[in-house]
Amino acid sequence: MVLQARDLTVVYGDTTVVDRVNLTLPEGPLGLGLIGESGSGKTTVARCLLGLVAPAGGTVTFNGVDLTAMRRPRPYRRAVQIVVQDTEGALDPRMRVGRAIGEVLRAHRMVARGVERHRVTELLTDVGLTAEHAARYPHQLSGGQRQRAAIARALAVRPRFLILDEPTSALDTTVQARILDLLRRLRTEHRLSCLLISHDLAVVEQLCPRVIVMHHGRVVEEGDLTDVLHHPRHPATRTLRDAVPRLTSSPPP
Amino acid sequence: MVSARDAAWLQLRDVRVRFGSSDAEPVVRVDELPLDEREFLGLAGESGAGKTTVGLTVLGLTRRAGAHVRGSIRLAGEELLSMPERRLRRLRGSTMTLIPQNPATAFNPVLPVGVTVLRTLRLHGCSRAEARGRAAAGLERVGLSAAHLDRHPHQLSGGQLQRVAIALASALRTRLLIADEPTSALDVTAQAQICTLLTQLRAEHGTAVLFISHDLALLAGLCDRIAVLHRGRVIEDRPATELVTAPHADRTRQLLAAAPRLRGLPVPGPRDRRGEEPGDENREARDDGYDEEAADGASGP
Amino acid sequence: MRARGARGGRTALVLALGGAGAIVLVALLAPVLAPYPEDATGAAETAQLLRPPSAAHWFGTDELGRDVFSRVLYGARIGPVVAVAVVTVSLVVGTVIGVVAGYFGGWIDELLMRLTDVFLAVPALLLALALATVLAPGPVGLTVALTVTWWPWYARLVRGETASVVGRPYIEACRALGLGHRRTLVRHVLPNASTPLLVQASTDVGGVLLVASGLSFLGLGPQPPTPDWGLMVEQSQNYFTTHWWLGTFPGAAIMLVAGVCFLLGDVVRDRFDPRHVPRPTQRA
Repeated sequence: MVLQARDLTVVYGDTTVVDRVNLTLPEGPLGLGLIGESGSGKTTVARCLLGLVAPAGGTVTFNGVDLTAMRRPRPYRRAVQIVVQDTEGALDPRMRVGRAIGEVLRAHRMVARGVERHRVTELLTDVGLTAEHAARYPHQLSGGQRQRAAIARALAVRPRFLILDEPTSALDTTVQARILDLLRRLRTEHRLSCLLISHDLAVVEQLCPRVIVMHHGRVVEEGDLTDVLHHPRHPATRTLRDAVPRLTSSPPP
Repeated sequence: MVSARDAAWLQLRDVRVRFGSSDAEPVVRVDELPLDEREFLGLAGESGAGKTTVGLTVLGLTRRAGAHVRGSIRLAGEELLSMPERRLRRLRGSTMTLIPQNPATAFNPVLPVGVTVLRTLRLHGCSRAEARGRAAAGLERVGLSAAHLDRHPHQLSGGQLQRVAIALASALRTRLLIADEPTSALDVTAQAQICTLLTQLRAEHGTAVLFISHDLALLAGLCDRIAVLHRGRVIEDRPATELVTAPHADRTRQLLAAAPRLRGLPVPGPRDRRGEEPGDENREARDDGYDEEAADGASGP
Repeated sequence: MRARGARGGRTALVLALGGAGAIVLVALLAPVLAPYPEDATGAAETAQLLRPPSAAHWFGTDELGRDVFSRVLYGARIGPVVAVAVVTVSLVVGTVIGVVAGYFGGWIDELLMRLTDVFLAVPALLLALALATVLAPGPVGLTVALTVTWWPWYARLVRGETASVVGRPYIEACRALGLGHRRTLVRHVLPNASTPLLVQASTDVGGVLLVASGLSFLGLGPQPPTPDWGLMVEQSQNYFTTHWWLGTFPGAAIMLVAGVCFLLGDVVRDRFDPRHVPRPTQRA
């Protein structure tokens, strides 16, 4: 299985927010980082990969089939999942977490009727929550717990690709570290191919050996993270690298 | 350093903040927290540790929110906790200012930011011409221009809005800046910019900064001293370098382990290398249950 | 603050539910409760004309000698029922049109909203008046006339709410998760878009009752001898200065029921949102 964007271009009004972006996500386990400042077009790329935004030019293909031409999108929907930054908005505020996950299981006929509840518990446990959390509404959970629930819901369909759009930016560092640990474990256990979108190289480093750097809608650099860190070729990459706080006590330059 | 603290410019002593009733469990119990002029103090801790409450209490804003505050907060020898609201209001904005976490909601959405800025300056005794001049100078210092005053908040990026807030603080010649996670809604590049500007502000006006954040790596690069807050108590309060290289408390070690940083980065100074040790050996320390998340908890905004 | 709010909320809840329950009971049990059930529509009692309130006739008797108390009790079967029917039908029609327009957008949205605008372009009361005149006068005609003028407001409201809900990440998540349109609409969009509508609707029952009584007063609703409150007020006009009880008691009934409906609307607003569940709030 492979998810691919070719010459992807998105235009809002008269601004080109994504400009001929090429990107290939092979099967996992794997981590690819997509980094850039706010407004560099990272999130729009993710939304295109999920078919939520129709590109003005170029294509997104899943196993070689163009998304827009796809007649039976269900296998693709099942294979590609997303976890977003906004933990409060990602879950329906009127639906208990367990039901939200169960609904996905039912819609895709992932489990037999009687064992749905069992499967929900299994998914929640897998992300470090418990059966108790199934009965809670999203607002009764903390940000970190909500993000775990969102991850559990994404895993319910047994995806092959997981797009992580700033999954930890709204969380504090302690919780962020735990969520990243969790994602690292899940990536291996479920053989997930992860596309991690972030502005923070320190976060990307935790999950991704390879990175793509975006700047003003274009891909300006691509390569192994270590290479990119040591020999950034584009000034935007250097800015992103130097902006990451170091554990030193000297004031920033 | 610690001995001369009685005479500190800003001194918190035996501060207890309670919400609800006056015999409730205090959310903040700070026995001592000094801050000198020109000093950068980082206030670290997880969500729910009481960091914001400490900041707002110094500004006298928790009392208005119905909190019960006991103890003493002295600024340049004057007791803030017993100060009448009217005098406190005059201090707020001029002598001490808050830079809030979410710049998008901190400005009135229907007014150009310039109106907010100029009104604030006028309120603190500037003439019209003086206000305009100071605002323009302040904006220039943060890399914006007077033209930005005509924009509405939604036309500016989060980083730009925070820069406007800093420009205002600079125009007001603020002595004490309480920065409540001013960069957590920004990307790393904008964050680095804000930190540089705060350092400049200190150089120009001798401003002291209480910088609240959950990110120890960020504080370490910016602050002279870091105090770690846990469940409302200061569990460790030491010079920044010492604290990040040889943390005493377990909680500090956990925060340090969680701090995002680039491990594979070149140019590691000698300090950097030492800084990584506690983090690495405490990697497992994070996995001691998820109760902290529960504490950050149900506290959504 | 929260504690006081909760207590205040409980009093309002008890009052609103108690009031609504009482109205329903009166409507159901009118034949049992009314001392002179035959007077509800019944013939004239020439011996008892225009008697002031007394032990035998608590609210007095009218110009045909009928017991006003009995007629007011029976009135609970007309005005409030019309009001509930108007709101319910408008709610269903408005919700369906609004949700479909807001969710699908594009030309469907355009078409449905222009259609709605046509109805909104004519002043509501005028349209209702015209329709009530054309239709056969009576409770059914009144209900139809009011429903036609009422649903477009709901359609607008729901469409706006739906459009804003559709933009939220969890609705997008439904698409990303491969949930069908129907499931997304019914399970996620509808419950989240309809809360403000339910609040609006429960308050509206009172408003519709007032308008319906007004139309009855103008003779465009139920016809004599139906014991409709609005109609009773109208018929009392000639006697108002000399025989105050004829108009006062039906008028008070309208006011009371409308008041209970408004209170109920408040209670629904306070209770309906799951996010209003009390929770510890402590900011860091």
